Order: sequence, then C-alpha cells, then structure tokens
Amino acid sequence: MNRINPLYILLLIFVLFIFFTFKLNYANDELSEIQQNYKESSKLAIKIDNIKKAYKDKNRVIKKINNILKNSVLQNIDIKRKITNSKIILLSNSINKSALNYLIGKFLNNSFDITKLNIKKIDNKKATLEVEIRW
Amino acid sequence: MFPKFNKQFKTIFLDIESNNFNTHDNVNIILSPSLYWVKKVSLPVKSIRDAKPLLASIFEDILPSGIYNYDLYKSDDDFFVFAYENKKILELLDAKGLKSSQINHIYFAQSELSNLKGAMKINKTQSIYVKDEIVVLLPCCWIKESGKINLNTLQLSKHHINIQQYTHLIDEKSLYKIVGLSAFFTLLVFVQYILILQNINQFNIKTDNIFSSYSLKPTKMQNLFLLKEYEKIDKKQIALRRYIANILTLNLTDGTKLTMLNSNTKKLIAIFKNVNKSSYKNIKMQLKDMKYSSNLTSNKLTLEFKL
Repeated sequence: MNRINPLYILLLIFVLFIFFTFKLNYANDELSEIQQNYKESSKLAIKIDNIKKAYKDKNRVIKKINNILKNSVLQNIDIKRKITNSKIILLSNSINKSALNYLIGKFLNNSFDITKLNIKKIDNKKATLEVEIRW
Repeated sequence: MFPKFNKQFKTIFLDIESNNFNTHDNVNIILSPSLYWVKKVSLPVKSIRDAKPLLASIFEDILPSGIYNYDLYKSDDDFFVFAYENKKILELLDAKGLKSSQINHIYFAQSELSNLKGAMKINKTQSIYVKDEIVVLLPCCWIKESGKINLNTLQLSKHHINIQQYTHLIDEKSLYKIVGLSAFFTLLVFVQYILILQNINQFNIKTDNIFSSYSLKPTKMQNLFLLKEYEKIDKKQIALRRYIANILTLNLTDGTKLTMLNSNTKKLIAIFKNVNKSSYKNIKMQLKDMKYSSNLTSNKLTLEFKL
C-alpha cells in the first residue's frame, strides 16, 4: 500500500486540468483583448500616418510649394518666402489676377495646413497675398 | 500514500478468525491461507511479466464467483500463483479495526512462512503447517505444534501485494487508461495554453512594431489625442476649402466685388463692396447651405465663416 494510489494521480491530473482550463480561459480572454488592441492600434497608426503625410511632412510641403512657384505664370511676380521650423510664409505685395488664381487653385487643391490666408484687392488687376502653411 | 522509510513495523497475521487489532500503529499484514488461493505451477514462460497474463486462466473453473486479483512470484523454475479478493480483504481489515492508511505491506503466508518446519501455532485457535511447499492453516490440536511463531522477528520477503480501495470497482488497467486519457487531455489543454501565450507574445511584438514603424507616441491615449488634433486640422482645412470655393464661385451682380479674403485658424472673413439689398439677397441665396454670420453696412458686406 505504499505505492502511490492511481486515484491520487487521477485527482492530481484533474486538479491540473481544472487549473490549466482556467489559465487557458484567462489567456484566451487576454489574447482577444490583445488582438483587439492590435487592430485598434493598426487603424490608429494608419489614420495618424495618413494625416501626418498629408499635412505634417515638412519636406513634402516645401518641395510642392517650390514646384508650384516654379510655374511660368509666376515668373514676373515677386513672391517672398520665409521658412521656419514649423511653417512657410509666402508674401506678395502685388500679384496679378491670373497668378493669384493659379496660386489659390494650387494651394486649395493640395493637402496643405493653411493657417493664414490674406488676399486684399489693390485694384481691378492687382492684389496683395499672404499665405502661411504649417507642418 | 508515501513510502515509509527506515521504519520497523509490527507484523499481524490476518485471518477471518483473528481478534480485533487494537492498534493505531502502522503494520505489515500476513494474509492467512484462508484469504487466498495458491498454486505452484510450472509455466512455459520465463519471466513474471510473461506469466501475468496467464494467471486468470490458471484459476479458471476453480474459483467461486467473485472479482479476483492475481499475483505471482518465482521460486526456482516454478511459479507460486495467487488469487485473492481485494474487496474481501479490505472488508476484513476494516472489520478487524485496521485502516488502509495503517497498512505498510501485505504479504501472503505462503511467501513468508513456507520455510517453517513442522506446525507452528499462529494464534490461540490456529496453526500453520507446510505441506508439499504449500502453507496451510489448520485448527490447533489437529497436529502437534513445535512452538509459537513470533511474527515480529520474521524477516519479511519482497513478495508483497498492493490492495487498493478501488480495484473492486474498477480494474487497475481501466483506471490507468482513464489516468492516461485524463493526462492526455490535460496535456492538450496545457499545450493549447502555451500556444496562446506564444500568440499573445507575438501580438505584443506586432503592436510594438506598429508603434515603432509609425513613430507613434508611447501610449494609446497620447496617440488618440494626436489623432484628434490631426482630424481637427483636416476638418478645418476641408471646411476652409469648401467656403473659399463657394465664395470664389459666387455669381456677383450689380457691380458687387470681392475685395478681401482673410482666414486664420478659427475663421474666414470675406468682404464685398458695392452690395445693395438685391445683390445681398442674391449672395444669401447662393450661400443658403452654409453657416455664417453677415453684416451689411454702407454697401460693404462682411461674411464670417467659423472654421
């Protein structure tokens, strides 16, 4: 009778079974939560990344603006550029109608964070322009 | 349940006729020949392991109906084979005041007392006698005893049996099958648990990778706040473009001119000159789907759009 009773072994296995079943259920819940968290984080990351790329990419914004300003419509227009760490300011004291139309069209059709836009008519042909774009 | 090491145990001879054992000590039991059937046989096998499956057939047609357990040991080239009733022995132990937890080992009288010479008195009413190598129990006075045997000085052999409480309910083989099956399922659950832990770890790594590859802020809350800020910017920029597009495409009448457009992060202001009541009405009609505030003073119309 000094041999380990198989019933005790069965009982031990049963206790282990219950223990691991509980652990398994808990781990399953944890896994669902982590999977959900992963999905949410992915969505969040993609959303942030999309908006970031659209508005917050300094190099992209400067490159685009430089391309816009290279256009022949603006050849004889004096447009001053002031670039800081967080924004670019474009200033013109005298811009003609076609150049203004071109610039406004380009600014509004690109994804820039326009934080300031001042257009003031001087006469029927000219206007002043001030645009501030942030990133 | 656990082996009792280096302990000297009292040895008791168990028979149906035995008196009650008033002891709480752990004991070794020697089963009376009346509690088992024994045969000395020669078998066409060499090992005990090979002989075990043959035991039931050896006693076939001899034993009265009942649930029997079998055991054997080898002596020279022959085997001593035994059949006994687990339940009966357990009931007898119980009836004689012995708990199964008190029992160290259980031996057959055959294996322990076969070297006796002549008859020996085993208790007040019975004697042990060895005939043709088989230990038999006789009522005393049938034969002249040469003395009384002191069981406590007896050097016990290694041939002991295990009597389990359950074996009359379920045979040991089936029990081990159940144990094996339960262990298998427990192992399955354990493996599943380990796999899920690995999965959890992988998802944690994936989530960390997202944070690093998209250069996100360390906490989800910070990122949600950042997204809110970005969405606010996006919303304002969409509104700004919508308002400006509507203003620039206005069909102005009666010499009305747009003279100024001014926006900051909170509002967009558009100023028109030469605005009379009719052209004001015309502008209002065209901007009927938009929210804005207007002020018309001295033919100057100011429209203010909130971003």
